[in-house]
Parts: sequence; C-alpha cells; structure tokens
Amino acid sequence: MRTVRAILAVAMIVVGAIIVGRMVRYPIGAAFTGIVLGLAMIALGIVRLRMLASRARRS
Amino acid sequence: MIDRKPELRRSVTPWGSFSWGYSDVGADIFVGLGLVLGAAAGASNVAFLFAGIVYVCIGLAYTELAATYPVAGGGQYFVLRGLGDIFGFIAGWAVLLDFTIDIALFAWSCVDYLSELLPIVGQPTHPWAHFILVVGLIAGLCILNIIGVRESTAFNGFVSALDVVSETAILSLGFLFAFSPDLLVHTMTNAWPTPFELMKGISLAIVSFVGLESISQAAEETQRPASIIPRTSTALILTILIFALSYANLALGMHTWHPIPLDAHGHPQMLWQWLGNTDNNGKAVALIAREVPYWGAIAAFYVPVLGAILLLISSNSGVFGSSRIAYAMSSGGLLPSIFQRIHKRFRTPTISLLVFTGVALIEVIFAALPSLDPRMAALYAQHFNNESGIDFLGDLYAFGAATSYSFVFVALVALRLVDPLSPRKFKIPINIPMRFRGERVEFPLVALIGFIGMTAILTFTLITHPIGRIAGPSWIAFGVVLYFIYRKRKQLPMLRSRKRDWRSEQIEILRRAGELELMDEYVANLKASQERAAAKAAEH
Repeated sequence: MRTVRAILAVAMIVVGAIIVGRMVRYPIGAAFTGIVLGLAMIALGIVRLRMLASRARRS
Repeated sequence: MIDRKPELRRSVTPWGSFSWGYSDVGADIFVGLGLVLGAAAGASNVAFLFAGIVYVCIGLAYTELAATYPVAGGGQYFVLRGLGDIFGFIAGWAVLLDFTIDIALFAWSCVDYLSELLPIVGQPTHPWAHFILVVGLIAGLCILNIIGVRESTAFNGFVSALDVVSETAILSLGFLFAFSPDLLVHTMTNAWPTPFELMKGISLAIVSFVGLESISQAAEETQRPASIIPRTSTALILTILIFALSYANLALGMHTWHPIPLDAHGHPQMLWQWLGNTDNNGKAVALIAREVPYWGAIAAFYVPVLGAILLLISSNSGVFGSSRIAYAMSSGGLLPSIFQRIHKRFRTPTISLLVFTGVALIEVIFAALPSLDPRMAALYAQHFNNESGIDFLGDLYAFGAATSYSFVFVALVALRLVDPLSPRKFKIPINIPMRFRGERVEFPLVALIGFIGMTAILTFTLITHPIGRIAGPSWIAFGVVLYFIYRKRKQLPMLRSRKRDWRSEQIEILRRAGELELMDEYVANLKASQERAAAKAAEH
C-alpha cells in the first residue's frame, strides 16, 4: 500500500510538471492559472512523499 | 487557569482531521462552480485563482495557529488571544453565522441533488416534501453529533475518500480526453467579463474555499495535533486548490461529449454559459461530469448521489463547527457558560449542538418561505431585491467568511509579536526578523499579503451583493449588542478584555494535547525570558 501511495505521489509531481511545461507557452491569463495548478500538484506530491517518508521512519 | 472539567475526547486521527476539513470545503465547489461561471464568465479561472491564492494564505495562517494553539474554536480563539475579547467575539460571531448557514444551505442543496433520483422531493414541484426532508436531515445530523465525534468522523472519512477518488477520475479523464488549451485561451479572450462581474465572481469564488475552520476546531480532538495538523492542513489546502482550478479551467476549455442545448432564446451557447445559467448553476459539477467522454455515461448516474452525500457531510461539518465555536466562546467568557456544558456520557457539547442547529432550522424556514407561500414570494421580491432566500444565505456566507478571515490574519501578526515564546512546530514561510518588547520576533509577510487580498474580497462582497452589505453588518451589530448585555450582566469589562494568564493556559493546552516535548520547550523559553529580563533589570 505504501508503494502504491508513493507511486501516486510521484505521478502527481510528473503530471504537475507536464502541466507547467505545457501552459508556459500560452498567453499570460491562461498560463498563470495553469502554472499555479501544476505547481500545486507538484507541492501536494512532495507533501505526500514527505508524509510517507516520515511514517516509514517511525515504523 | 483552565479547570479540570470534562474534556472533549481526542479520537480524531490524521485522516479524520483531513476529512473534517475536506468534507466542509470539498462540497463548496459543487455549489460554487456554477455561480462563479455565471458571474465571471471567461475569467472564472482567474476568479478562482485570486480567491485560491488568498485561501492558501489563510490556510497557512490556520495551520500555524491550530498547531500552536490546538483548542476548539479555531479562528475565534486565535483572534481572542491576539486581539482581545471584543474582536474575538466579532470574529466568532461571524464564523457562527457561516456555520449555521453552512448547515442550512448544504442540507438544502443536498435535497436538491437527491431530487434527481427522487422527484417527489423536488423543490419547485413539491416544496413541502423538500422542506420536511431538509429539516429531517438537519435533525438527524444533530443527533449524530450528540452521540459523539468518533461516529461522525468515520462517516466523514468514508465519504471524503469516495469524493477524492471520484473527482480525481472526472478531472483526469476530462483533461485527458476533452480539454483543449486553445479553446481555454479562446474563451478567456472572447468572454472576458466587466470589472464588476469579475469582482462578483471573486466574491463568490471565496465561498468555494470556506471550511478551514473545521480542521482547526478538530485540533482539540486530534491526536498529537502539533505534528498532525500541519501535514493534514497543507494536504487539504493543496487538494482543494487543485480541484477548484481544475474544474474552472476544464469548464472553460472542454469539448463536450454531447451537443450543448440551445439557450432560452434559441441561440447556441458555450459549455460555461450552460453551466452558469440559473437553471443549471446549482448542479454544475454533475453536468460537467456528464460531458466527460466515456466516463460521463457512468458519471451521469453517480455524481448526483455523490454530490448529495458530500453536501450532507458539509452540512454535518457545520453542525460540528458551530457547536465547537460556541463551546470555545463560552470558555473564553464571550457567551454564557451553558454553551460549555459537555454531556456526561457522550462528552460532546450538547446544548451548543441543539441551539445552533435550531438557528440553522430558522434559516431554513426563512429560505423556504417564498417556495411555500406565494404571498411570501411576492414579499421577498419586493423587499429583497428579487433575490430568493438561498441567495440571501449565499451573500451572508461570503460576508461571514471574509470578515472572520480578515481578523485571523491580524491575529496571526499580533500573536507573533506578543507571544513569541510559544513553540511553533509549523511557521508560515517568508518572515521578517525584528525585535519587539525585547524579544526576537518574526513578522509574517504572507499574512500581510493575505490580509490585503481578504480585505479586497470583503470589499467586493459589499459592493456586489446588495443584501449582504446590509444583512451582514446587521448580524454583527446584533451580536455586539447581545455581547454588551451579557458582559454588563456578568459585570465584565465591555470594551476591554478580561485578565487571563495565557502562559499557564498555554502549558495546560499543550499538556492536554499530549504535546509534552513542546510543553517542556515552552517552559524553558519562559524561564530563559525571565532570566533575560532579570539580567537586564540588574544592569540598570
């Protein structure tokens, strides 16, 4: 289960990076919301990975 | 000092803490998406972005404060501690308004979603059946919360998990199979709203982010709050932001699976126009899910059910939240002590639960009157600027949230200055180091940015909502009058604060939370501070 969660967190980081990469090409209004969305996904992926790591350390 | 009286039991786990917040704020998008699309048109994603950035700031503020002061009451307690009794009361009173409306509004919307499957409870055709079911749901939730937090936390946790999975599926498949960035840019370019419409959209978008109160209130009932609250709260803030921005962008840039019906005048319309019109804006998420290729065939059946369940647990969060705020306000001497009474067997604040559920029921009656009696409908049209009871509740919802959140930002800054010795396991990033009354403190720049953003949203709410700008301040004024009467009867200072020993209280809070390491750190900080002060006095 922990491995599945880690894979999902990494997938979220990858998808976030793809969104940021794609949206930077568009005009500023659309690009900005897309970039914030992508960055939020990357941040959430990192938060999830850190939570999993801390849980693994405790056990 | 805090008396050794019956305590709320600590039975909320990390997932329970997340789901308390998620169940409240996660349902907001089901109601808010259509409203924002209707107001902000091609700039709906920008409206969500503006409100979302302010929401991240307030979320971080709540995270720091709830981890530092893990007590029931959330924003109200932080404002009381940072700014004093009168401001603490105003913030708490505004939050109470929000939570009682939360109970009424979401129970009402829940029955609307249910009517997709049970037409007999449809509000336009069977208003009495609709009304009775709403009242029954609110009464049921009240009983659930009286029985105990463990039961309701389990209920919230299950439905929150179901919703996270479902919304992720809808958005992932929508972006994979139907989203076009070029269409998004085209919509934003050709359907950009007027500044007034954009302001209205932003003020409605903040409604989609109300709910962080729940997680900070759950802090008093969470195991190891100083460690758990920062993690669950950060995950909650990011999850909600991702869902809101994703829905907004998808609605503006999605090619639909089926042709969009013509508008009332027989003209073709875009997806966002269809979702934002008055017939559909209450069920925008269900409609957008239906238009996702392939998955839409299944989503058409289950999303209305999911919406109903999520709205129900959001209503449940309102029941939980209002009772805990009243409990905390009573503990702080802002409301009569009857609200502090805990049931001996269930250890839940029964009186608070009953009173504020009762207030929500009165609000439901107020909202339902136009549909139950045509004469009342005419009266509402004449005196409430043609807005229905539900619109009135929505206006107040935005007003209450913006008011209380503005106070919380100021309280965060004040507490950083006047209480630098309390250990903060989580701190908002970007701080300016400085000295205040001989102690080294850090000024949180993010709180200043958030306060400016929240004040802007409060201003937008007052400018664009004709009922909210009268009824909201009236609610606050009514509360302040009650507060003065109560304080006079109890011979407590009216404008000034009661003297409290915050240091002893903080030690007791950390002890009760089981954060013994933080308690030791706090005691050591106090000792070091006293030694510094004594050394300084000796020098002079």
